[in-house]
Amino acid sequence: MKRWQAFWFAPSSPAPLGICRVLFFGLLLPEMLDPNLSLWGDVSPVFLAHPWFRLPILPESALRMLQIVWYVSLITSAIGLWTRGSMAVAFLLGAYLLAVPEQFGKVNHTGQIVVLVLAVLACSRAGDAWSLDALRKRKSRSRPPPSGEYTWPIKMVWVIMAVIFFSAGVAKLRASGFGWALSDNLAITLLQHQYFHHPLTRWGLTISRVEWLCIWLAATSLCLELAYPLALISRRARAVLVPSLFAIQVGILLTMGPTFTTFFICNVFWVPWDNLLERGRLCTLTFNGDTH
Amino acid sequence: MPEMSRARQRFVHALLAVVLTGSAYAVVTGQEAWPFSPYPMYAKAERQRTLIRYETFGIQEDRSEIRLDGRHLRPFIISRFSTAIKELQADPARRGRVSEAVEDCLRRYDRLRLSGKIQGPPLIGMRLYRTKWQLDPLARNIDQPVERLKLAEILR
Repeated sequence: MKRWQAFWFAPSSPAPLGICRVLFFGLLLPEMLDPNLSLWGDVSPVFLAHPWFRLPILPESALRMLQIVWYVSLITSAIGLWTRGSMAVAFLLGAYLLAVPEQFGKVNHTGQIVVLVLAVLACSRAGDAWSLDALRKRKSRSRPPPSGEYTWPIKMVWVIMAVIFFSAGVAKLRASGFGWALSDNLAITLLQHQYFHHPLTRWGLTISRVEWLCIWLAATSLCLELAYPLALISRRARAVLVPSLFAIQVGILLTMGPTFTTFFICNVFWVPWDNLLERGRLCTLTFNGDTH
Repeated sequence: MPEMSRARQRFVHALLAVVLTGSAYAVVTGQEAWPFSPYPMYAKAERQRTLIRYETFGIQEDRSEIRLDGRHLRPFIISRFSTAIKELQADPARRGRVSEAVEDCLRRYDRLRLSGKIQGPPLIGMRLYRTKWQLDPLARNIDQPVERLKLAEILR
């Protein structure tokens, strides 16, 4: 019970969560600038799939208006202006706008993590540091002391990422069993993507011709996905699993084409910002000749 | 700031419960439950060295065909469009509406082209094909599918 409490609510300084907020919203904005989003308001309902997943599709002009408000909320969330309200708006509009395209044809799997992280941040005090709000308040008050309020949002994002990767591993085992890794599945998948995805490199073609390498890569990926939850409880596992899954997604981008930018962005929550800030402070002191 | 209250801690636990329950529901049922998902991408193992995609071609005034990509089918990207048509074909209740889908693409192409949002020639129609490739180890036959079956044609 003590470990559980410490995991979620051990007091920490507001800076790491503030940095995560700045980077998450700042990097998310360019990724979300989508000139096509409002056009979904003009697509025939004949394309609507998934009867269990239906939201009203607003007209094009209304979607465009919501999109603009959403972008503004992402900017104000990043710079930390009226942070709590901005993040609440960013979550509510993001949950709707990111769901709109997913109702046509297929569901992509890069938007869900954004909505969940937006929800976490909307409930957090991520604006207490590295924000314009904090600068304004500091004139009248001192820095906020360490608190569990700055710990749990980061841990919740960890849990979300662990659940996602674990689910992806389970889905592979349920759909295909160990044959997913121990067959020429990856070789075929790599080859298929050359025909329509135009990946950044031709490495996929080379890899697809080396049978043992395909099996090793597929088996490793599957194991890493299933093991990802260990990153929540073990520092050593975290040091291996988080960079490995990041590398796998970069590998997919290079060899097959699909991008996982939203996942790349969410990795900012794994960075030990407090350690880096402390090191940076020590370096500055050393550089200034002040070693006390 | 005072230390976290019990109520606030309960709220965090409730949020965690929502995340875990929603994810478990999606995984167990295998259904998308926005924003939760079973994350089935690439889950089904590929067994055959073939590829089937749905391709759209525009018909120009001289009756020649021009291959249309994501820029022409906005807001669809090619993979989403191909999956949308695949699902239309797979759904007995909607299978007969493939022409309607192509007609909608042509209408949107015209509207976006006239407003300058799409660069492309004027079209008098569109064709939808189901295209099949036999995979080549070096992908040398991208322009030589083994089968191209016309599913729909819209002419004005």
